Amino acid sequence: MSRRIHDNVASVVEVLADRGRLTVGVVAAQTELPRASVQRIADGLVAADLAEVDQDGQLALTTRWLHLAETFRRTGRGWPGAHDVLQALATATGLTSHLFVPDRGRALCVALCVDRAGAPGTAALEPNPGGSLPGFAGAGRIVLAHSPESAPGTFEPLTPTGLATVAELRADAARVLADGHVLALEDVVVGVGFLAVPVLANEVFLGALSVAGPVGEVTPDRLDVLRAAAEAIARHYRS
Amino acid sequence: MTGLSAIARADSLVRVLEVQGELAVPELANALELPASTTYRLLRQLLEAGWVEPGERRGAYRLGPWFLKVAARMEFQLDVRRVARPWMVDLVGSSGAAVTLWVEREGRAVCVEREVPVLSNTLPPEVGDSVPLLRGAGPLALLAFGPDRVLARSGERADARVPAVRRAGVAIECDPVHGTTGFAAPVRNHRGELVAALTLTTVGEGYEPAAWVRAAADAIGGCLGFLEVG
Repeated sequence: MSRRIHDNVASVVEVLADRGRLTVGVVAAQTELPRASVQRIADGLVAADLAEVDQDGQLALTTRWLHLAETFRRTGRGWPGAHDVLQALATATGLTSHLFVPDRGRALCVALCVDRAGAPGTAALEPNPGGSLPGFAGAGRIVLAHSPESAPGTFEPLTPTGLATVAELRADAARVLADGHVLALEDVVVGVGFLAVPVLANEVFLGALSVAGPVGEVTPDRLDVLRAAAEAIARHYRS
Repeated sequence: MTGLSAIARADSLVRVLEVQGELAVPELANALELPASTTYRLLRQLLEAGWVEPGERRGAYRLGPWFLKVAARMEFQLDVRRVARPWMVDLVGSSGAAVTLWVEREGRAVCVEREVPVLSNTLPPEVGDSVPLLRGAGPLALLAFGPDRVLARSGERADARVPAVRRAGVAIECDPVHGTTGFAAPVRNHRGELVAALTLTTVGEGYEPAAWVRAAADAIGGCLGFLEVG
């Protein structure tokens, strides 16, 4: 698939993922692609059982995407064995635990757990699996520190207290590597903090593990339990 | 290569990796019956697009994060209430009984959707009503088919009914005060997780509401990607 074709396919798929059922004409308008191109992509997606056309002629993605995502989580960097570790971490800390993998300079969330045994109504903090954080905020700073080549040339902080310049980003990456963790307070969402560590197997960087919650509850004294969890995930990966 | 043939070729590779987990280029070329050089070119394109990523074995590839990203965006569209609504309307039409949809929130059952026949002889709950998980067929189905953490919180009164409900695949509860019977079946998503319970409440007899509500719940689950195994 050439870059251009992929970009066009990606545009069509993303519009359908975000908007649900649409006619080819609406997809063409949304993506600013020629209607004939969208029709060819739609035919390809339907033939591959990645999309379907309903009786009103509207196009929608099929649930095959959900199963492919589960396959990625099961066999790829979703690390199926990590779920128990994440759940134990969430229960031990009362916070939301996230597992991230590097993805083009961002931290892609592949798993998340909340403290189900804790207070009823405990809400999971974003990002959800499939969502991501930029390399200049939250657990993304672990990813950036371990893949400095993906540092953005320019960026806009997500909050007024976030890292704001490339120089700050470089200094932060060096500090994160030296400390082996990041305490990122209110740089993703005001009032929310992330404490994150790298997951390393044989010194190869695999991803980042974090706990997140209200800033007052995300404190460095969680580091021991967080590091132990990261080591447990790395052990599972090695096995 | 057109979009159509490019997607077909990408899909054939994805289908192999979906089954095999991860494969090296020669193994993939063999499975796809393509020259190694063509397979390698295809992999490079799909790698760039995020459809595949390097596997754990040197030179091996597996499915990539693109699918997780698309699925995450799709899941916002797959609201169980919206998906269930046409099935609930059909069920009311065929049964003449009231149909409600329940979800578990904070250890209680909350009615999130209802469909009532024009001439209803029952008084189904309103949307937003919240009841304990042991009260009524829908809440009991949430308890019986939900995660163990919910059951663990519910106390020992639940234990006697749960095994029978799980065996039957449907919760049946009589309300002697109103003379009604509720039939509730689990609605599951693509991960097999319980997302809701569909309930049909009737005073009549002479048909098989348990089978009907199960069929409707399975159909809703199918729209959410649930694939029954076995």
